[in-house]
Parts: sequence; C-alpha cells; structure tokens
Amino acid sequence: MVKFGFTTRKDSMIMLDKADLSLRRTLISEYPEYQLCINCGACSAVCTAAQLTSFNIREVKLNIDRGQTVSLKNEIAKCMICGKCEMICPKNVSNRKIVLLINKHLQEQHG
Amino acid sequence: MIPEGKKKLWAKYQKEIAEDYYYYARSCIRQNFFPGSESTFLRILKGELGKSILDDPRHTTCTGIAYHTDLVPIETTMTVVARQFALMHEAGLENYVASCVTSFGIYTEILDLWHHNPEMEEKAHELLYKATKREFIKPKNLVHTSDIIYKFREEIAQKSKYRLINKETGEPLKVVEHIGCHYAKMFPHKGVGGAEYPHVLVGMIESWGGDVVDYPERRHCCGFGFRQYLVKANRGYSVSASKKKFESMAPYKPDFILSNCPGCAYFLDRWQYVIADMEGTTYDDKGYGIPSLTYEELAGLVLGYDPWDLGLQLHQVNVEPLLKKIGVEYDPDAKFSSKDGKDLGKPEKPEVLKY
Repeated sequence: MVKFGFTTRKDSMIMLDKADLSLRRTLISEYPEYQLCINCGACSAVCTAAQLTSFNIREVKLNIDRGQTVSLKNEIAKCMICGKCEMICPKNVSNRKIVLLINKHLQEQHG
Repeated sequence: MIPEGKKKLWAKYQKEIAEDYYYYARSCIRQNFFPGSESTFLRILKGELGKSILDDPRHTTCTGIAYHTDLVPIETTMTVVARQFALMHEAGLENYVASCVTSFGIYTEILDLWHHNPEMEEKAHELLYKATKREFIKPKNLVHTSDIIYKFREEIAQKSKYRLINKETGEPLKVVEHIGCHYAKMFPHKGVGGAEYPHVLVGMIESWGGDVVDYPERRHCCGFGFRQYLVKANRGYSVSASKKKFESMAPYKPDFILSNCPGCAYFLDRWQYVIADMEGTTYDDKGYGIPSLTYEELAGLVLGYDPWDLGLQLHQVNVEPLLKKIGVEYDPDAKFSSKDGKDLGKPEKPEVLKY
C-alpha cells in the first residue's frame, strides 16, 4: 500500500440515545447553572493548567454532555482549581465548582 | 425520491437566469483540473445554443481560495470583485456567469455585504478607482455556469446523440449528484432548488434520461475544504469526508457521480485513487471506481462530443466503462494523444484501482 503522509479517519459517530448521560444529569441537578455554558472556550483561553498540560475544561464539559467519560479522571486531575475560569466566564458559570462536583462524583463512583 | 414533495420545495427556490449576453469568469483551479469542461461550456453555448458570451482574458482570480484561507482581507476581495464587475460593464454586459462555485459564493457574498452595508460598497468604489481608475456597476444577473446548462437542459436534450440509458439493459443510469457547498448552502435562495434539495443537477440528469440516487450522505461535503486540503497534515480530514460519501453511495451502485463544483469533481475522482492505493478499497464491483464528471462533460457526452475532446482522459477513475454503458463511440488509442497526434504520456497505474 502507498503511504501518502496522511490517512483516513474512522467515523466518530456518537449515539446520544445510547450514551450514558448520568453524570451530566447529576451535575445539572446539583448545579443548574451548568446548563448556562455556551462552550465559548474563554475558560480554556485563560486556564493556567492548559498552559502547562493538555487540559481543556471546555472539552471536558463537552465530553460529559456526550457521555464520553472514559478519560475523565485523568483529565480532571490536571485542573489546579485556581478559579481564573470563573472570572472570565461571560455566563458566570463556576467551572471550579463543576470540577469539585466531578471529583466528588468520581470518588463516590470509584473511590 | 418522492417527486411531489420535492417539486413543491424546489418551486420555492427558483432564480432568474438570463437568456443571453453573458460575461464569463473562469475558475482558477478548473482550468488545471478539467480544462475541457470550460471549453465545452463555451462550445455548447456558442455552437449549440447560439448564445453570446464573452471569455475575457483580462479578468483575474476572485481571490476565493486566498479569502477562505485568511490570506487576503475582505477589502482586497471586494476590490478584485469590483474590478471584475467593471470589466463586465466596460464590455457592455450585465449578466455575470461564474465558472467556479467558490467564485459564485464570493460574488454572492460580496453583493450581499454591499446590500447590507452600503458604506462598504462606497469603499469598494473608492478602492477600485484609486487602484485602477475604473468604475463598476453591479451585475443585473449573477449565476453559476451550471445554472445556464440547467436552464437550457431541454434544448440540449433535443439535440442529444446519447441518453443516460444503459445500452445493454435499457435501464436509466443511476447518477449520484453532488452540489458544491458554496453554491447554495450559504445563500439558499441563490441556488436553483435551494440548499437542501438543489435541483440544478437533478434537472439535467432527469432531462437527459438518468435516475437520481438519493443516498444518506448526499449533502455531505466532498472534503475539499481549503483549510483541510491546503495543509498536508489536515488532508486526512479531506479524504475521510470523501470516504464517508463513497461508503454511503456505494450500496446503491451508482454509474457515475456528477458535480457542479471544481473541487468536488476533482476530489471525488482523485481520492478514489488515494483510498484504493492507501487501503485497497474501490467503490464498485469490478474495481474501476465510480467515474466523477462535471456537468459540462456530461452535456458534451450527451451531445455526442468526442470524450477526449472533453478532457475525460484527465480523470483518475477510468471513464471507459461508463462510455461503454452509454454506447459512446470513441477511439481507445487516441486517449493520450494531443490534438496534433503527439503522445501525452500515460498516468502512473494505480495498484488497486483498475485503469
């Protein structure tokens, strides 16, 4: 086979009807403002952890909304809980609170 | 296809297409990809339909690719577009015909911009005069070349030598139509049939005897996003988009693909070669792939033009199986000969895709 320097990618179709959205529901019930996020990414733009690691809080929340939580524990551990994201958020969503709630949920689930 | 429902929707999105006296703006990439298409368009318009069209060598790029890759600012695009309109006006014409779907999108976008921001139009006048001492007048009628072929599809059908019918079985050929995204997805009312159910290619196929295949990824992009293709590291996105379409259309066993955009016709052709050599997959039963034609090439075939005059030898996916199905007479030995009989050389033979 010829190598062209690029390859095809597999379809990444997400079936929301079958996805496990329990974490999203838990977060919304404990912190309804979670739903106000417009995924603008301002939080990621100012994130200190993102400057040092691959952490992306916008992507983390997007993945939770899609039920993709396999790598959540590793990702959320990168957050330094500094709260800069809260200060920039145009919708006054507290990502700090969301991260703490996710941590609480993960500990309840996995110890 | 449920014609009643579609017809109702299509009726909502009709556009005015001028009858005659056109100013022709060529496509930058199409002159390289499929040069026979543009010459065939002019041949059909002048020779078959008796229309007047000016093929002006003074016009330039519309800046489309540079604009969509953020290399030029909107003011530059606006001034270049204004210059094209000035050339049309100087030639005494008011019906502008763009050969490229990206250009059609650019002209439509600039006219819309000026409509909503008259101060930008004023600025374009100033910039153009400062740069070239020219004045421009906006076209009375702006269309894509596929609109013109669509308008005269019945006249072409009346003059046709061949129909889109399988010569052996007598069945209509199954055709996948693919509309360039910039034709109507940005401004649905500017495309015949709108964005969701464009009729521009469907009309041609049906008038010339073929059947349109309705398949799940029919409206998916071909993958020729400039940002995807121009950066080599991103080409995987481009070929993956085409692959998604091929996989979706293959079960319907289409006889060929028809596109109205330079990039779409090219990538739906070339990526079949790449996927064949990369993954060993072809999208037909016999390993020849699915031929990908432009609408002028198809019109030319229907009218009985020589396939090699149409430039069909420049396609990566072999067109001969399709020519045989339609019953087109052609000289297989003349495929890679120039007009004066010189050998043009053959393309490299793919490992999997039969050629």
